[in-house]
Amino acid sequence: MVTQYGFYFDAAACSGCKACQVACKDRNDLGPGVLWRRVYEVAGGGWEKKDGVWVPSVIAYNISMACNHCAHPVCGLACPVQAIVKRGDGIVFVDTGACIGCRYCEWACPYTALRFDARTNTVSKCDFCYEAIDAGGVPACVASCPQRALDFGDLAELRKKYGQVRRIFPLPDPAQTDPGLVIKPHRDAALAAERAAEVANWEEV
Amino acid sequence: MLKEWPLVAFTILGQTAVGVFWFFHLPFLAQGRAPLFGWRVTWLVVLALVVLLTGLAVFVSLFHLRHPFRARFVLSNLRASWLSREILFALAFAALVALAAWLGWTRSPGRGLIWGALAAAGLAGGLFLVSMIRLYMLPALPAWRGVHTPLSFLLTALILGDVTTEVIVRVVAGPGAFGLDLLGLALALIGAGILTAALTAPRHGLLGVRPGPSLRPAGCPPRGLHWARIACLAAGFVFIVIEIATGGNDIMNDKGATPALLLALAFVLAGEAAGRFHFYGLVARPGDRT
Repeated sequence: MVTQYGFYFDAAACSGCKACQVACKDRNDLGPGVLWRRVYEVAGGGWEKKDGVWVPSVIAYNISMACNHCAHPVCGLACPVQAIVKRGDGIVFVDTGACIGCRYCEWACPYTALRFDARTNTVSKCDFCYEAIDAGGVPACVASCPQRALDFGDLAELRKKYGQVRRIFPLPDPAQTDPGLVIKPHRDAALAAERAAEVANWEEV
Repeated sequence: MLKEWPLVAFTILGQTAVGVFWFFHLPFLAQGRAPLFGWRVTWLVVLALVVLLTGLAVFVSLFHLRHPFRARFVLSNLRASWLSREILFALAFAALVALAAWLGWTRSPGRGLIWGALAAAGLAGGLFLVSMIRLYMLPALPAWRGVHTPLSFLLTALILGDVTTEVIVRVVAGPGAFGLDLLGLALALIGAGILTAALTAPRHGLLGVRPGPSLRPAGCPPRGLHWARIACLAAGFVFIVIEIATGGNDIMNDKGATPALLLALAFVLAGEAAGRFHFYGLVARPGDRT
């Protein structure tokens, strides 16, 4: 039995097509401005002089990020009305019937997974497509990725299969929440901090 | 940022209430006597104002909830949520102050009971302030996690508590008799407030935190708010100096607050409000396009 579901993301394979983002919106019928999965475009660098010659030092990669259904969900700990619940299989979801709309969880989550939904006046977030999972299916984002850059499953199995990396620039320290996440880093990720990379598509995320 | 006005009002009103309670009782605590003889009316006015300010703070805070009628469940996560604890201590503080006022009003013979209620209220006020500070010191938000949050929240309570208490004492009891030099203390506290803003304010203070890249867009409150905070506090400082230099109402021995004292209160209040709007502007809500 799964005790903690998690996502795997291959940053080296992601082309930034945003099919995952769109599939998530479609499956969950999300309104304008509400994104449970987002694709961040990280870019930096410019030109650098090597042996008297100016050469490009541009780096760019994408990060597809949703709720990581953390083992230590700080959003749920912050919620004053216990409207954020963690299931036995690790899936964290928002009980919109209990949410008071204080939006404190939006501040608490370092992955900015909680999003305010103006239609319900509550926060909302990725629920791991738990209805599909319970029926033996696959989360919409994973199913839609043409590059197979996303995978999901038992976190322990994902770690065995893909490794232990949970952080690339500019993700937060995983010690804060113990996220259900495994990442295969893009080769540029190691250079991102020194080349002053930043998210380049804030309007989209 | 301006949408956070209910939180700005809640924090400032709540902190002022705690500050007034502490400052009014400090000299009586030092002298080991209850504020009953000669001070009963002023004391009751202070307690009524503290209850009113705290109640108003809690009421105003409802405006930042999208489902305010569900707020009755807000105490259900006391085990983990600082927000639940904040509201618990706010309500406890108001209830204990109201109890002390009722005991004073009915001239209850139980002096120990009054002291017990006052001590418990002082403690609840302190815990209210602590939970308000802890609430914002989230690991996910480096802009709020620094030294500025506790310092600025504490100084708001002390500065506004001090000046408001002075105004109440002047209006209700008259000049001269209070056992604490509130104006002298106000100068020191406002000076500390200006220094705190100039040095530790995130983004715009000289030594303030500059949060690095993250998955959250950088919150950039207008620099003008930072300077407005400092300028208003400085203006408050100047008016208190004028108040001290001119002797306030002491020469006339009249009750009532002078224009200089009222202007000082207005300016420090404006400075704290500007600082608090700046504070909430430091953290953006991702995806919020309205």
